Amino acid sequence: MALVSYVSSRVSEPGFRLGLPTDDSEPFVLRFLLPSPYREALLLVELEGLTQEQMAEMLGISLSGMTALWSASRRRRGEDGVGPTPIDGRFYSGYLAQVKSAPVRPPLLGELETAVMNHLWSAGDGEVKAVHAALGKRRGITLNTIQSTLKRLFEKGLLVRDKVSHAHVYRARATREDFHRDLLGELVGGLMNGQADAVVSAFVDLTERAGPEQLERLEALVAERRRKLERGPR
Amino acid sequence: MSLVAQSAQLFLLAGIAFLAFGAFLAAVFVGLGGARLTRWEPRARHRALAMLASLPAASAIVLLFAASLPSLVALVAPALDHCPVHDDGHAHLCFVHLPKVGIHAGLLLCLVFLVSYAALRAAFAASSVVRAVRVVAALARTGEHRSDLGVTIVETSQPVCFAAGLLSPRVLLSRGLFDVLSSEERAVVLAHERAHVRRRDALVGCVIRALAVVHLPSVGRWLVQELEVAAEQACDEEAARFGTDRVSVAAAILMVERSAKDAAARELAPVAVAFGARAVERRVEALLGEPHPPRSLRPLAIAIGVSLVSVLVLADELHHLTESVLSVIAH
Repeated sequence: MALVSYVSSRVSEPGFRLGLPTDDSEPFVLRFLLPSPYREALLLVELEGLTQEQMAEMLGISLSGMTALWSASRRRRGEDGVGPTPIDGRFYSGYLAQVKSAPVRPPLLGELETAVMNHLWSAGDGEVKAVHAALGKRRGITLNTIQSTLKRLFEKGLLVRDKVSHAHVYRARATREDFHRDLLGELVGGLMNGQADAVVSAFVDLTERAGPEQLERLEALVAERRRKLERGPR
Repeated sequence: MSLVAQSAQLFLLAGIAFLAFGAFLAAVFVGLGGARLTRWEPRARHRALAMLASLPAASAIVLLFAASLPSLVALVAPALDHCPVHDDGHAHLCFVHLPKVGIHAGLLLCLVFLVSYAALRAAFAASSVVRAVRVVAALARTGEHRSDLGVTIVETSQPVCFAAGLLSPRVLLSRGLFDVLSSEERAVVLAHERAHVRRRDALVGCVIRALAVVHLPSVGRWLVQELEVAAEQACDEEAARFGTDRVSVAAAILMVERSAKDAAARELAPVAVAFGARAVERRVEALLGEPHPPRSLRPLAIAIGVSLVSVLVLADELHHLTESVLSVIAH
């Protein structure tokens, strides 16, 4: 998951400091024994000041699921002076069950948004003018359109931006591979209640696998037939 | 309640009864000939299964049309109207003489429930299909197009290859599988997927899944599974016809299955051994065996034609029978 690598890269940056109010030196969210990417998601809300809505969208969970996760993390921290600090993650089993069952749905992009993402994936990064030079002129669209598209993608959590002198320089938050994996995961992960099967004809069934003995037996059959064929057809 | 609404209730009730009759008929056919059908040559099997799957819907349409034929005739030629011989309490299945009595309140409630349930289910299924189509489009737009191979490469290590999309299906191949396959194996896999694209299997599958809902659950599941296997085998045969030989197709299937299995073992522990497994076994064994000669569906077409004609000839009797049965159950 892109989120995980992004957070770990942020945390390992030199000079990185957590501006979090914690009881001790350790950032409290890191102590949660939440599985990825939920642990990172909670951290990211603190780090980047992302809203819970944006976070829920990135994780592909419902807003209520995200709120539940978030308020649990604050409550269990002992903020109100009540309750222990969780060490074993037991407190979260209920929330996790709720969160896990929610399907991961990557955001879908419009035509121009796709073109912008494609450009940034291959170019690495770019400011508004550079993206406009690459895409806008050919399509006959204005700088403003490109700017608002970049902003929208940033708000959707697909891009990150750095301020270099006066301009924002945008780059993709997730790689093309991450994006494809999420999309494919939605198609073949059985998340659409099997409805996706209706539009997909895979070469071998995507969700169910043959047993090991069965596969070996069939492979032996094919190998034997090949040997026979090589000996020459009569 | 307005007379039109009462008439609509009767027509709806008759339609549902015919649908149920068609589902029963399909269940009988599957029970009697299902096992024999699985040994047919894949293309003919696919067509026969598609016909079986659409039997309830088709029979509901045909029977409802035939049962309302006398009333349609009365609409055009009032002299031929026979309704005045009935009393007003009769369940008229008629566009001219609207029934004076509605159906039983309990039955009406069932009808309302059934229709809203069906509508809700259809809406959910449709939204999932729309989402799946959009996801496929997103993959196709952001993937790398290889016009020399006629595929879009999807950037993921997961070894998958599939044809996807309803109206303009395309072939998607993952980078992981692209790297694993030899050029010969790749040609087989792509020939197979192109056959899916040519046959519009995704669109057919989508329609069949929608039609399968009105079957008995076990029959519907069986039909969808068998249709999928038949479509896969038909594409296997086409790949074998364009490529070198049938054994290479079998080898390619096992190669892809093997790498998918390895990838699945790396990523997620539980591996289901179910339908997919049986499908691979059947496909490989069929490819290693002798090819079946093509089978003509003419007897089936003749049987359908004969039953169509006889239903239309017996339209009057069907009309009266339906009215009598409706009178008994509806009031």
